[in-house]
Amino acid sequence: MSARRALKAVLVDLNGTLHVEDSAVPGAQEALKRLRSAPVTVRFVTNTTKESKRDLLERLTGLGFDIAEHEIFTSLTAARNLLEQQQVRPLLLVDDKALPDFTGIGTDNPNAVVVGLAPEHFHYEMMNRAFRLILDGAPLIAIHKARYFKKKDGLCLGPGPFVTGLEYATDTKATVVGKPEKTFFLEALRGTGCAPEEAVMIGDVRGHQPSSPAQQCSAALRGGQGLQRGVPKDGTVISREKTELGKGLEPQERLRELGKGLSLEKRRLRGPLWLCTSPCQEGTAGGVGLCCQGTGTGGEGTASGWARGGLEV
Amino acid sequence: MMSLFIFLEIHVGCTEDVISWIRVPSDVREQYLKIKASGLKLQLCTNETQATRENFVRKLRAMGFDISVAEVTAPAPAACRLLKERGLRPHLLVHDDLVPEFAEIDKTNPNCVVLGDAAENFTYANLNEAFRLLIGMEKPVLISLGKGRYYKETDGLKLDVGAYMKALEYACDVQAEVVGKPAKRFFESALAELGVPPEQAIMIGDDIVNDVGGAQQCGMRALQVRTGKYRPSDENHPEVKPDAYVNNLAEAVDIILQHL
Repeated sequence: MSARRALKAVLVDLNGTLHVEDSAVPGAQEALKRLRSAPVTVRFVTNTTKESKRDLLERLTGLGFDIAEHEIFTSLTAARNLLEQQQVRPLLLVDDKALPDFTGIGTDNPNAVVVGLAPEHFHYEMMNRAFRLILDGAPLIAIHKARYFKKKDGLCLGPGPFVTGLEYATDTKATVVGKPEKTFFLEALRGTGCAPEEAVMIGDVRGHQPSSPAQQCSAALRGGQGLQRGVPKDGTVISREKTELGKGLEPQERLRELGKGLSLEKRRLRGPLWLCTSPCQEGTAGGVGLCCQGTGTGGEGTASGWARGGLEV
Repeated sequence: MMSLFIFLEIHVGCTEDVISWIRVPSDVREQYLKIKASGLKLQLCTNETQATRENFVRKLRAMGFDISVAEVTAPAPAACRLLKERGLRPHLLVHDDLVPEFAEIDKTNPNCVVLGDAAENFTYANLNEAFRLLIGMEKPVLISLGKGRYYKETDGLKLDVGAYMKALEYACDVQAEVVGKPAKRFFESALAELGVPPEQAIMIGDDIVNDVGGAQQCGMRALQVRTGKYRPSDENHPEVKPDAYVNNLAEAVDIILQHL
C-alpha cells in the first residue's frame, strides 16, 4: 500500500456541517473537540456576503463551539486578503453588516471594486460609479457570482448578473474569491502553512447555487462510477454523499466509517480534498464521495480525482 | 447613387420646463446641410431608446434639421414590428419616454421582456421583476433594444442596455435577441427604407462594434469618428477594422464628398 499522506489541516464548512442556521448539528460540538485533539490545524470556512467574522464567532460560540476568530475564513476574508495583497482601495458594494471585515482598509479615492450581495447598491448610479472605476483600470473582485437566491417571496437576483454586466461593459473579468473557486481554498490554507495535499475539507455543499453539476456528480456517485461525467468545465467538483452510509450516524461515527474503506491514491490528487459528509436532500442510497477540486479540464479531477483515502482522524 | 447613413449620438436629457438640451457636435448641422445639398440620401440610424422617434425628430427639427420620422431608423419601431409578427406581449423595462412607442402593443399577460436603455429605471426592483417574469416562462424571450456597452453623456460614460442584457442573460441562462445596431436586420431595414444596396452606402459612427462593425457585416463601408464614445483603444480593435478613422463628422463628410 502506498504511504499514507500526512494530514495537517482540516477545513470545516460551517452552515450545514457544524450548524444549520441557529442550531448546532447534533454531536458536532463533540466531534470538533475530538478533531482538536488531533495534531491538525483547523479552519472554519464559509461563503457569506453579509456576516462578519465577529457575527459568525458570536453565533458559533453561542452554540457551544470552541472556536477562535482567527480560525474563521470567509469569502469576505478572501476578498480582504486580495485587497491587501494588491494594495488597493475598494469601492465596497457589500452589505453594511459585512463592513467590519474591511476595517482598516482605506476606501477613500477607490481604485478597486468589490461586489457582494447588496441589492441596495445595485442601482444605476452606483453601478455607473463602479463601471467607471473598472473602465479606468480598477480590478473587479466578486465575492461570488450566484445567479439568484431564494427568499420568502420568491427568487431574487444575486450578485452574479451585476458582475457579469460590469464585465461586459468594461471588457474585463472579475476575480471571484468565494467557494468553490480554487483561490478561496488556497487562501484559507495560506495562514496554516499547509499545502493542499496535506489538507482535507469537510463540508455540505447544499445551498450552493442551483446548478446541475452538483446533481450530475450525485448521479455519478450513485452509479459508483466515480466522476467521469458531469464535472463542470471550470473543474470544480462538488459532490454529495448519498445517505445510506450517513443515515442515523453521528458525525464522528460517520467519519470513522468513511475512514475504513478508503485509501489515498497520492499521485493523482491535486488541490484540497473534499470529504462530503452530509446527507443529500434526495436521500438516495449510494456510496461516499471523496473528490478533488479539478484543475480546469474535463479529464482531470474526474475519475482520477475519485480517490479513496485513509484518514487519520 | 450613394447613400449616407449617419449615426448621431444624440441623447435627449430633460429638465422640467426647459425643452431639453441635446448634445450634438457643434458642427453637425453644417455637415447635415452639406450632405443634403450634395444630393446624397441620408438616413439617421440610431439606437436611441430614451425618446420616441417623434420626440427625437421634433427636437432635431427645433435645432434646424429638416428631418422627417421616415428618415430615422430606431429600435423601438423595429421591435414593435417583431412583437406583432410573433404575437409577443412584452413586459417593458425601458426609459419612461419610450413607452409611447409601444402604445399599440398588447402588454397584458406578458410573454416576453423588452429591455431598452432604461437609465434610472434600472433599479434592482425593476430588474428583479423582469428576471422573475423570465425565469417563470417556459420559453423565456428577452428582446434587447441594442447591446451597447456604454454611452457618453455630459457627466461621463454610462452603462448602456447591453450590460443589463448580459446580466439578465446570465441570471436566466437565456440568449437575448438584439433589435437595433448591430443586428443585421436593423441595418437592412434602414437600407430598405432608402431603397439602396449596401455597396452604395456608408455608415459613420462612434461605436466601433455597433456602428462600424455592424454596418460592415452587412456589406457597407464604415467610418469611425474619434468623438463621442470613441476611445483610443478602438484604434487597435482586435476584430473590427473601419474603412477609415476620421477625427469627426466634418472630416467624414469631406472625405465622402471628395470621393463622390
